[in-house]
Amino acid sequence: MQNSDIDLVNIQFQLNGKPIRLSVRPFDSALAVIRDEIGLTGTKEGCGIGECGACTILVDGKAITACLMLAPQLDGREVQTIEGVAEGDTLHPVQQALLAHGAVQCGFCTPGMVMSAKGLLEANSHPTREEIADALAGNLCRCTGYVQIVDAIEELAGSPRANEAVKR
Amino acid sequence: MRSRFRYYRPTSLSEALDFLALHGTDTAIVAGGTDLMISARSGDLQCKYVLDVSRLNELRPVAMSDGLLAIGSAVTHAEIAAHPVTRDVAPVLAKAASCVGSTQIRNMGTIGGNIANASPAADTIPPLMVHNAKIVVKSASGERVEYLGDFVRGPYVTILKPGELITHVLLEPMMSGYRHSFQRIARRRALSIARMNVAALGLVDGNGVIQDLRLSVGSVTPRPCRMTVAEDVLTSNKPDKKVFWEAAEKVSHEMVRWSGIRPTTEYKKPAVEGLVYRALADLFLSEG
Ligand SMILES: Cc1cc2nc3c(=O)[nH]c(=O)nc-3n(C[C@H](O)[C@H](O)[C@H](O)COP(=O)(O)OP(=O)(O)OC[C@H]3O[C@@H](n4cnc5c(N)ncnc54)[C@H](O)[C@@H]3O)c2cc1C
Ligand code: FES
Ligand code: FES
Repeated sequence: MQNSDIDLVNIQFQLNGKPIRLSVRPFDSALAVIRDEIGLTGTKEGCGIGECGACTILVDGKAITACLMLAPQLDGREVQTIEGVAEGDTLHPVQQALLAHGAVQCGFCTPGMVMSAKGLLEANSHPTREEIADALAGNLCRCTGYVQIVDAIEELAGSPRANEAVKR
Repeated sequence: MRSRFRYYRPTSLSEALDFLALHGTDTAIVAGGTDLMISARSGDLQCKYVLDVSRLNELRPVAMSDGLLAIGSAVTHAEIAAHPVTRDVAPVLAKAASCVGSTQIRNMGTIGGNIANASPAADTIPPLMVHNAKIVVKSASGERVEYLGDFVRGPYVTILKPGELITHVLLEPMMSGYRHSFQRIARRRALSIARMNVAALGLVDGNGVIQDLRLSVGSVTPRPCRMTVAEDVLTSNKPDKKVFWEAAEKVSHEMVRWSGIRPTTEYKKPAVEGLVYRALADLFLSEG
């Protein structure tokens, strides 16, 4: 089918703090639009069915899997992707914590992990270890990085930098 | 190949019902999309329109009304798990909602979607059954109210007709003095036979005798039901391990009665008995 046969949907939303307008195919996922139309490829596609968390983004501050969201549902929302997390060359405190703990073993699961951790810290700046593990349970890590990841977020949450992590 | 459809987002419930009155047979409703997007991706979803009800304020209340707890169909699992009213008068539902999927799934998935999808393993269904939940369904021509056990006809089948949508569910609040427990076994989704869940509410009188017991078990019967045979074993008895096992065996008998002996029975029978036992022990033998 050509795009000309399709009723495109006009949407506008805040993407990493900047307003964006575009026309999307009504049946595409938010993930497809973010990666293929907008070209922000930091958000990864793993399973495509909500099980791996590689596509995690924040919508109105809440972690969701972009592969399960319809693109038109982005309309009017405030959306954050991994690209909006670092400020220039300065990594976000969550990213710094992961690096410091040797918890970044691949580029694939990490963006999703960072977004889930950020979503948690925005709602709860001093989570317990259990709450951290629960918040990251929807992000699969196929290697051995998991313990370091939870350690990293736990240490960050216990430090004054947690408040900074929330603000950014 | 991905399913193709048009998208429509009404701004009010009446607009949604008008749309469904015209296009009901060609329309799929979407709320959180956590079930629908799977079938859209595989191409199994066949419809001309997708109607997005996720932002309708009329479908988003959580409140007591006329002595019942009303929860809007578009309320998410995360909201149910955190809401002070559900935690207070339906803690077994709040607990179940907190167990669904992952944080991401709970932030998107709704109670209305969970009910309408009618998976035998749906985590909110056993808690709703022990609260004698009723489903409120609306269409442009009116409203009907059905008990959940009548609303779901079988695995992934409900009595929802084209043109209708679920607006909310009504629960009897848990009375004071009752205890509650929700237990589940969850493996990876792909192995759905390994998913099973139990909700129980119980009341013990001053003499330590069980006065009321409500038990519902997911994934063991084709339709949601209360395990009355097991409830009868427990009521008027003192809670102890022997009577818990007796009740657990009644549940596994029910399962075999419905589904016959299957290759999975050998695994499922001890699993379901263990799970029911765990729920009853948690209900009566644990503190608080
Ligand atoms: C990775 C993953 C893990 C999951 N884990 C669990 C789990 O642990 N436990 C569990 O129970 N479920 C689980 N699910 C299934 C799913 O998340 C739930 O069933 C969820 O509650 C569905 O709600 P939704 O709003 O996303 O539904 P949608 O996908 O939007 O809709 C589901 C169905 O309901 C219909 N529908 C939605 N709203 C209405 C309405 N108001 N009126 C009439 N029909 C309606 C839709 O047309 C569709 O047929 C999981 C799913 C995924 C992808
Ligand atoms: S790609 Fe979305 S959860 Fe795996
Ligand atoms: S660090 Fe990426 S899968 Fe484990």
